[in-house]
Amino acid sequence: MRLPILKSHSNGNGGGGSCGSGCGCASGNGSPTPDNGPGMSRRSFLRTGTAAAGGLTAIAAALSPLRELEREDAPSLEQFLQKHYKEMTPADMERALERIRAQVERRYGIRPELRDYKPMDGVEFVYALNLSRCIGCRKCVHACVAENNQSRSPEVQYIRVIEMPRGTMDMEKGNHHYDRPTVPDEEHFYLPVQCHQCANPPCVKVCPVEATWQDADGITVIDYDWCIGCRYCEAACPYWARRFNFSKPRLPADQVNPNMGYLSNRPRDKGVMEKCHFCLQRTRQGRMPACLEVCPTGARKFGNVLDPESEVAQILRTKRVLVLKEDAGTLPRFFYYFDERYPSGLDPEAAEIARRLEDEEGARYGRLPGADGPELRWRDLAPGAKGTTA
Amino acid sequence: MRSPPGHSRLPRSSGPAWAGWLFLPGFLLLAAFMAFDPIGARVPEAVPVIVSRHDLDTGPRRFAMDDPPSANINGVPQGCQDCHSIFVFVDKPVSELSMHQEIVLSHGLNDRCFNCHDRNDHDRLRLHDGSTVPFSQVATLCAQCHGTAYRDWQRGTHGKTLGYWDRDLGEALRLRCTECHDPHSPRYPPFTPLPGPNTLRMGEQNPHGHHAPGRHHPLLRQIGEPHPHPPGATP
Repeated sequence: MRLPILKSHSNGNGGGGSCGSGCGCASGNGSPTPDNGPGMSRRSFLRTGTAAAGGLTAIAAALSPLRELEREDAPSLEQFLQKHYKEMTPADMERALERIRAQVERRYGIRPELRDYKPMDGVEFVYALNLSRCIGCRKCVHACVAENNQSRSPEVQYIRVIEMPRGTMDMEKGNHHYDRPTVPDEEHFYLPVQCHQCANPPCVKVCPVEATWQDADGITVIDYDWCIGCRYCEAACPYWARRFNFSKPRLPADQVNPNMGYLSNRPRDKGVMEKCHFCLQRTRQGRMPACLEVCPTGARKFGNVLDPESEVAQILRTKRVLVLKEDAGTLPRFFYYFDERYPSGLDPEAAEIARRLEDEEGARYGRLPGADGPELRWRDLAPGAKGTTA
Repeated sequence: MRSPPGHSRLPRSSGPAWAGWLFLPGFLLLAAFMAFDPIGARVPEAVPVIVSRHDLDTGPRRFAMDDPPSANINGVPQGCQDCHSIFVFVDKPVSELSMHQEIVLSHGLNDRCFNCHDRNDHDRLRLHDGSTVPFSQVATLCAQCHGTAYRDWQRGTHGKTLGYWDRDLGEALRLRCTECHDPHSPRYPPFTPLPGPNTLRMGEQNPHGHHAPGRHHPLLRQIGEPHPHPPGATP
């Protein structure tokens, strides 16, 4: 038996000469016989055929992860043909929103309030965080997860609270895995880090498909339908603010926040980037971000910096502010600030005054009434006593 | 076209002819490996963290006394003047009072009741100059000593603001001093932190290295393995 495809090979060699094929047939002089032609022998057929079958099996096995791709996860034709966010007409957007609403309803059994929130005119958002007040309780981390429908396992969190030794800003000495029975610790301060919404964002510059961009109100957003998951932006961010969905995000249906935005907290798929977006589904409606509302100390401040009466504008005018990695030239919109006095009564000057008063007036009036409680004595807070700042 | 002379005499490979057959079982082994997917089945995942909604309350941290003030006496809320129109203050430490024993007074040198409370009208607070303010204006009282905090609070740079940042869309709710601070012991108590991150790519979990290296490396952690850090394990 001769296969046509192999016959053409023998024809290519022409008649008469040595066959030149690696068929291993005994007759090398090219004299054709019906059973043992120059293009095919039994051995050659078996070898080629088995190799081809093995190769096909290998290809099929290499494609086998596609078996796990559920129909729900495969991109629909509509999603595949969707235009870039900035080229979509309102009708296109409404169609995309409806597709996502139906998808969320299929996956989680609830109908989401999904909208495409646009930036407001005359607004530039700025975040400010009071390092004197942050106690490292991590409520902001988990409020953010609850608000923004992040994957619970594997864990995706936008905010890192870094425990730093007092007296240094060396990030290498920070630890965000601190696990104390109680916080704050006297020898540390706490530095929450999230997306800084830079005015000069390196993550936007490196995106090869323009799936991430800076909106007019300063929020850098991601279109999860356009992201190809190359993770260049993650590498470019000096604040380690971007998160990648390495595997399928797992979000319990009873914990889904139904108030969703197209560019913010709608459920993500495997293989796309995400990050903090200042809760734009809340803030573009005038509300506060979730991390701010849950903060028990009021260390977080948010607002429109173009409004001179806003809290953040007041902070930038009257407080000592700093940004992280200023030398990176990213111009963050996330500012850290301090209060004048030392936190927790550690001001050595105030302790000195209090000690003098206690010596003078305490001697005159004797033991002050009501002073037997478990209060902190000023003497314990004097310079040199334990717990003073570095 | 005819091959150049001698072309067919060139050795086709340096190895023996049967070596090519090794590719076949190699391919089949690779195919079996990928089909059974022994690595993919062991993708390590973090144990999901359950945070109760109570831990994520967004309202004021504590219930602040408003006008008219009241106190729980034997579990029943009572107006101040209900008792204090009859009973007068006895100059004793709080711990020796027959009532209000739940109050922990830890306010530095400010440890006398009538520094802040009015001796005659217990529904009001007393300023240094002898005038009185209602409980709802407690900030005026606190401002007498905590000037910088009061100034910052007026600007909005101290304290918590809930509600809307945009005044056109909704109201901003500035919390008062006593909605965060207990006036009798204003310093915040220590908090129990919520669980830390457990993502897979965050490096060594314990920078102090108190247990065997690699034992709890995040990349080796599997579903169902207990949390490697019980609270209090880290010094």
